[in-house]
Amino acid sequence: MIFTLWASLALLVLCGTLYGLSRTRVRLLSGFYSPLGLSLCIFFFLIACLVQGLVRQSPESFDADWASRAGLRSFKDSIFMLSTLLLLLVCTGMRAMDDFSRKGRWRQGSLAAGIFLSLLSLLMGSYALERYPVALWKGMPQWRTEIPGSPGKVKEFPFAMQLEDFQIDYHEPTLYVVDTRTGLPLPEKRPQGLKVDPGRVQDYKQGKGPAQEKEICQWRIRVLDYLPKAWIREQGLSYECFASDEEGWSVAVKVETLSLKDSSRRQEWICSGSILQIPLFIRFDSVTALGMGKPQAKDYRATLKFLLMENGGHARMAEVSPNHPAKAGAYRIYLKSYKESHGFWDPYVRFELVKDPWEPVSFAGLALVLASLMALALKKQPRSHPLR
Amino acid sequence: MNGSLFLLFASASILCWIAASAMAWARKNTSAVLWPAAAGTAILAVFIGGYWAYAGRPPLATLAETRLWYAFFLFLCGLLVYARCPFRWLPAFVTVLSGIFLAAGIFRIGPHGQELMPVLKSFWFVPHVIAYILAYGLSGIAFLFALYALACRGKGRRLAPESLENPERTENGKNAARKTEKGQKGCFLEKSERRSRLMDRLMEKIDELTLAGAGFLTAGLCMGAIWAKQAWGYFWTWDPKETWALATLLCYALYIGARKSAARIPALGGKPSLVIQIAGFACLQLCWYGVHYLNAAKGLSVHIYG
Repeated sequence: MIFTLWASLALLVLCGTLYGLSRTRVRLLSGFYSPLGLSLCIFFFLIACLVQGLVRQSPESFDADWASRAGLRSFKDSIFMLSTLLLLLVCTGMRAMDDFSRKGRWRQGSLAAGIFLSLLSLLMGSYALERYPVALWKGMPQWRTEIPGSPGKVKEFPFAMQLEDFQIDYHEPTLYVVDTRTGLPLPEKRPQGLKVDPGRVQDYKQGKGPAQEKEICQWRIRVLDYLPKAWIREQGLSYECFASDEEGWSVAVKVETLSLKDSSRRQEWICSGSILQIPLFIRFDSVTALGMGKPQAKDYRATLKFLLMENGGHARMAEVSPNHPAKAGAYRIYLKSYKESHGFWDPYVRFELVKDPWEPVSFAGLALVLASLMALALKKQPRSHPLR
Repeated sequence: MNGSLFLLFASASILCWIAASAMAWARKNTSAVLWPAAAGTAILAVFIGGYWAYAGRPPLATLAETRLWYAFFLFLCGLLVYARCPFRWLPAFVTVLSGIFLAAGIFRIGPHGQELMPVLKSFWFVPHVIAYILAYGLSGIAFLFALYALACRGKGRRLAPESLENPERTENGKNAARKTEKGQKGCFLEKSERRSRLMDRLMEKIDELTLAGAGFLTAGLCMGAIWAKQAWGYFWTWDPKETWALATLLCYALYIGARKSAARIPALGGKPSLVIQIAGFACLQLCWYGVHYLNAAKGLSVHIYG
């Protein structure tokens, strides 16, 4: 962090000195922040972006192909990239100073200053940022983690955290008629699904309304029952489902299918399956079956308990969900994911702890860019050509 | 409004725009062209609003849905540009380009719409995507202008906006006697001078559209960075899609730089600028859906959506 602060200070002094010289003694230096100078910087930066966009970036790759040997597979860390970014920083910084020194150009100056701050924090933040993945099990406290890329080295946090609760809400399941050879829903060109409506299923069960139904391909499908958390039980030659929220549950729907070709009817359960339960389908013929799409998470959130050492130590609870990280000390805690490979039954939840000392600078830079863009848009445009 | 009505609305919208294109080509007055064009745009807007209400989520989650918005913004930008500068070929070009993007969505927009992923449930989702798609629309029109300008430069064709060739026609809708700026009857501008004025006018329009497009691209990029920080803890990760978004923005910044540098080096202001403009549009296509097919991006991007 100290290094990045000194580096930024040095960069600011360099910009100021070069700009001062360009206005007094070395007029040639004004070329750095002239449209042509900036265009050249942008051109070099564009080249760097194109290389990264066209060559697969995999620094950990062991394929010793020509691109790896030339350093193109880890181009963001290359000398070219770093020097281009530094050059662009210097030019943008000088441009901001020049704009601010001229009357009526504060909007352009703010835009250049915003870009300068954003680029500076991007560069310095990449050196100062600390990220630590942490896996938590329900009820087990954690206060340290292994540092990624440094086996055996452990990072201790100034607080302890414990996963108190983890909840996932799922979207209602959608039933599809599937081509069993390809696994794709039918009709091929415009696949159709029947999204289960829990309200209508409830009404039907209470005799208040008709069953939810839909025709897909050659079958009419009616939803008779819906269990968001169910267990399967074998009964003779068929399977029955019953409501149960024991870990390992899966989503189950009871349907009645009517073939529009031969008027045959069937009533069966279908379910999505989990690590402990097999998925159930209704096979119509050798190439088509009625199945359920994998339930999609609507929302997931974890409740964490923090024990913070500061101020004599105190505990507090916080909820973490996507787009809503929790804060503890200088760290932000992000909910990364839950383990899906074991279906719904897994207490393992991954978090990431991030310490970014440059975060306020980045936010300030981005806010300045957005505000100056707005100011430029609201500015009364002169009648003359916009780029002259 | 069910997605199965898409074909109906898209057809009605395109028919209105075809009518507007035909009227523009037949040199009808500007307001006569604007009515069917506005109706076509409004029909698509009604469908988007209805589909949003039906799906219960912003229709911006899939590639097909972003194409729908793109067609809408392309129509809207075309309409606004035509209102200010009635190039008679513009509605036809916009109709063709929008038609391609609408046709690409025919079998994709439907009742099987994807659910919104938890990470997409953010305040930044709608402004970020809309800023980008609006920028794409503005850049699309700028691209059409750039192509036209290049064609005019190459072949020296005499295709000019009505207001330049005949200022009276756009004002009154009549093929009145031609006048010069000073109001002298029968005095025609020299062909080369007229072409030079046409090029100036075209470049001016391209500049305006590029400035607006680059502004929205920058805003979209900044909002995306803020959202990424909230979602993953990073402002920027050099993800392939992010890289191409930055490359697109840099292309347009390069265009602006080249045009500004033209005061010192006039050669930069003409053909090279137009080529950069077209390269910017190519980068934009790569950023939008081209990354799906790039080997460099396969399996690496978290931003790719189907």
